[in-house]
Amino acid sequence: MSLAIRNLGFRYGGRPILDDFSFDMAPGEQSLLIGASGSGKSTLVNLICGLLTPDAGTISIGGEGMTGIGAAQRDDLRRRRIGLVFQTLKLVSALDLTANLRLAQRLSGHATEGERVTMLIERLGLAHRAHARPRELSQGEAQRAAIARALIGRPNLIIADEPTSALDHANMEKVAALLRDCASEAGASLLIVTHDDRLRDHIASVREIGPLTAGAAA
Amino acid sequence: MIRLALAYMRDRPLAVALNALLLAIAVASLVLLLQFAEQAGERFERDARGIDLVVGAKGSPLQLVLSSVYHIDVPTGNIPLGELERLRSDPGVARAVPLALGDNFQGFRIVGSDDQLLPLYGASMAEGRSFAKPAEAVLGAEVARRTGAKIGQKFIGSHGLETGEEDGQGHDHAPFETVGILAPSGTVLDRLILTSIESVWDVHGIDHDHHDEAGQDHDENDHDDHAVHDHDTEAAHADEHDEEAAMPGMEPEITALLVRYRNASAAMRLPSQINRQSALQAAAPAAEAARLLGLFGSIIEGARLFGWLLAFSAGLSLFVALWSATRAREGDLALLRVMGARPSTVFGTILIEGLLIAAIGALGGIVGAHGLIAIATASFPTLDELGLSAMRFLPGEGLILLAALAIGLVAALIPAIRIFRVDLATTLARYS
Repeated sequence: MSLAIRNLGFRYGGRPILDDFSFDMAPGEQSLLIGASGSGKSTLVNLICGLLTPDAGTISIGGEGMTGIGAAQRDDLRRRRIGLVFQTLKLVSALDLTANLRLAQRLSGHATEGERVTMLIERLGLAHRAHARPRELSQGEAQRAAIARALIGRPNLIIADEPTSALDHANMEKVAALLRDCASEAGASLLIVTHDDRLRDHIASVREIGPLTAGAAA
Repeated sequence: MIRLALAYMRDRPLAVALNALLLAIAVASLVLLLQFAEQAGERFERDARGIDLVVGAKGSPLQLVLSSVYHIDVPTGNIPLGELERLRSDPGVARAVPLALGDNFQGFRIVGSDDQLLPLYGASMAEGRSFAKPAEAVLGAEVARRTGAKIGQKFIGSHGLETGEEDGQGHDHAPFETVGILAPSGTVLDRLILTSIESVWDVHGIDHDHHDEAGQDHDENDHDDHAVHDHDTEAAHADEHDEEAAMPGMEPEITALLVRYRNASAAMRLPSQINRQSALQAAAPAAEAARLLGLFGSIIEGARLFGWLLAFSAGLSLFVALWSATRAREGDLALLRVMGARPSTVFGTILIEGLLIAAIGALGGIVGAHGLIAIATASFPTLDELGLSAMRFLPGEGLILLAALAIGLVAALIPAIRIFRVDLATTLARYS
């Protein structure tokens, strides 16, 4: 399994956010986890990435447990296995696109491969923006740059948290296609977590996630 | 992580420049004070080494020492030549060296003396030989370097002790010939032009016995009917002395005597004995230099305290800048953590940023201080005469640099520690 979640439970401020939640993804599988605001989507992403510790249940990524280990080990597992794409937090603001990818490559534990950085930038149609700062990129360019950053470390699992919510339809389609294609090319599993209903038509496997209690924060 | 810290610094150049500038101003102030205190103190100590007492005309003892030992003030007046022999015959005196001042060449003082002056400072010749006849001159190393003068070259001295005093009164009738150049000694000799006392008298048209022109074994009686030349007053500039011929009636005099004791009892006896004479005063360079440095010392201490206050303010400003910077880039730092950066790595990035800003400020301050010294010594002859060197770096500057780096480190520490307390999931929820 690329991602195996078993009987996950998490409470925030005494309120249950996730209860007995299970979810599996085979290697190379592409899944869409869709839910409204407050449904616990972002909490689930944080739990999968090891940024939060569940109250119950287990999470394993590529066979390695994300639960039951210390913070440093969780950091290490995340670095090696997961590539994350966020809606707004895309790149390190002080570095240009190329420097961002090089940094992400180093932090993922891989040696710096200039060719791979160039290849990814070209693959995502950003060759003309290779030395642009994040604030100089358009929304669509920035989202493609974020995908490149997530892919550079050769992750087993790409998690995209609301990757298209701020984009118009045309850009949403482009980003969805890019995520799909890039994940396929990299042989990585793709999990898109969103409330953007428009993505239903672009990913084969769709699962809904709903709030356990009214008004529960995600 | 250094590259990331540099990138963040490049991202907000104005804030970085302002904070570095604040620290640079503080460091420059401290370095200037250190340089001035150290170099002036050393210069005072070095130039007065081997001189126990200065004997000159009555007046301010500090002025006498400054003019005759450090050559940075006008003399108090002249004294009879006979005092030289009287002191040399004193059993408590190991060495008495006469000085005759009054002229300069391109701002460098021309000092008339005898063959005892060079051994007093332990000076040696780099080129040529010492002066032997009137109108022969030996240039200090710095004089030769600045004027570019070579052996055999002739020059004309101007009246007065500084360039500004010349008022057009060049002694055209009595040019000096360079016969030697001193090796650098790090003493006041480097900035002096040495000649025989007789040369000084000749230049000013004062008649004297040329038979003992090397300036030694002057007999007071030989000069009884010679003219007096007053070097230190404006009246001297306007006296329009006859530059072509000796002036009968002017008695040869000297400006001061540098004395070295033979024994400790001389130190007890001689100053009071000399000071009792109505026309003479004796001043101890060590005591006068200590008095002067003591006076400067309290001013320097006050200024130094102000310098450290400036450095503290710079540190505070750096802290505020880094604190707001880390708050502004919380999302970035969270992203770095998600990308795999360890908390210690992010912590280190902020510390490095503080250190780099402090290092830029501190190094800029040190370079700035030395640049200011170079400009000041070129612009103000008094500072140049004090021997302040822009190219001399003191160990204390290393300590100031370390202190500035420590200020940068401490200023960055609290914003950096905050990284460990940031809840990553909450931050990501806020920014993503």
